[in-house]
Amino acid sequence: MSGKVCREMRREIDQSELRQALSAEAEAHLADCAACAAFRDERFRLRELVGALEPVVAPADFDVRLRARIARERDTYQQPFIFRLVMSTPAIALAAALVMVVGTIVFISRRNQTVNPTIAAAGQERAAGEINTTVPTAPGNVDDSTPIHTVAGSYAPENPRHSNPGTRNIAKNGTTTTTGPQVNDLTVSPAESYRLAPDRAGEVSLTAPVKPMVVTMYDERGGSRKIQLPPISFGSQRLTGNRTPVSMTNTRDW
Amino acid sequence: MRTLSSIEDLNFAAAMPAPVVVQKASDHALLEETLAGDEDAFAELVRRYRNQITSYIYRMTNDYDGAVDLAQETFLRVYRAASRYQTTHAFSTYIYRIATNLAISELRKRKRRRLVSLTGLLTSGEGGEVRDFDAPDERPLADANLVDTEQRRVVKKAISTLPEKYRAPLVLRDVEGKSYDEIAAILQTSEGTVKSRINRARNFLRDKMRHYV
Repeated sequence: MSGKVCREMRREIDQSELRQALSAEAEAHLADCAACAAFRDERFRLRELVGALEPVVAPADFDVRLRARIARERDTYQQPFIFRLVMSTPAIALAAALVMVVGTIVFISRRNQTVNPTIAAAGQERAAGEINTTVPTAPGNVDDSTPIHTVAGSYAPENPRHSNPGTRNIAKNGTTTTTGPQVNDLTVSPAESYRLAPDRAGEVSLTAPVKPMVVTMYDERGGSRKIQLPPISFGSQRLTGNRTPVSMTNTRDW
Repeated sequence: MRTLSSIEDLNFAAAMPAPVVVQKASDHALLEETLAGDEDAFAELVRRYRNQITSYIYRMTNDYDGAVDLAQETFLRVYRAASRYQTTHAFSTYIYRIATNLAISELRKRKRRRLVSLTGLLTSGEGGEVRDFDAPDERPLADANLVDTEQRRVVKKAISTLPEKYRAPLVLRDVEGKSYDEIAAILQTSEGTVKSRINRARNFLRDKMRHYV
């Protein structure tokens, strides 16, 4: 029997309705072709098995539950779109809550970092004697013979010609005097800490530094490097008109 | 008194009241009324299709509670999108299409989550090959009911292991009794593709149920 004819017949069997009479040509073919006849019996049996699956019915409370869902849906649609969007996915709601908590924490911490003018001034007075820090060239290699880097800071404008390996003391009025080398080894004693307190209510600090801090670093070969650090402002200095623009102070002078 | 000459002279129809023909509202009309705010019209639509849709989704997902939930979701979507419904297709095609999409979506979700379910235990990989640990009991069963029960269990299991693209057309054709063109409209594909997929699905089933066919 031709394979093409068998294919055609099997397609007809497959696409016919269950137990439907086939065409005369197909019936004649099935009478001669045992394989196609077996295929027909197998297909009909299979379809009967699948079709004999017991019907499944919806539960008795289907309508009630559906009405409840529709009512709930209506209530949801009466809420604002943003609320519905956020609440539609638990992950979005959780993320939104997390963002709000983090935002609140950041906002509160930022508020607490506002400079307190009196404390800042006191800190300057305390620092007027020395703001010198010794930094060893390599950790774990600290002895008297080891060349040290001296970092001198000043709130006054720094004249490069006045730079020397000694230490410059900064007075409150901004004048600079040179004394012998007084260094603070951070590997031995801790660095001074300055605690900044917020302004009192209704007060705005105007005494914060307005000029760049100049730091000169000396290396063991006698060379020096100077860094100008513009004052960091969180708002109070911005109210003063005589502040040196950052654009003029951020030129790096190595 | 009138004399009867033949049996045809007995005009029973004239004595009987005219039959009241209750015109059953079409699905389209019910949906129109639903859109106009008639809750009863929607309830009638639900009554007409709830069993069919639940049964169809159950055959697709093999999970009764999930099928009920998805059937409700189907009706909810019909209700929500009643204003956007277009009468280019039969309503049954429309609602079966929604149910099919939901069922296939659920099957894909399950696959993603790799839920350990009956389907998961029986299938391995994309092709949905049945592991042969559930060999049929060759001993004769005493009760014909037991035979039927066992056969139904095997058929259900075999259907649930079919790949989803073959499962939907097979269930629509051999369980729901839909025509090829209706299945093509539901699945939004060509009639030729539907016929081909049904043929493939039956071949799959035959291989899995070789001891029963």
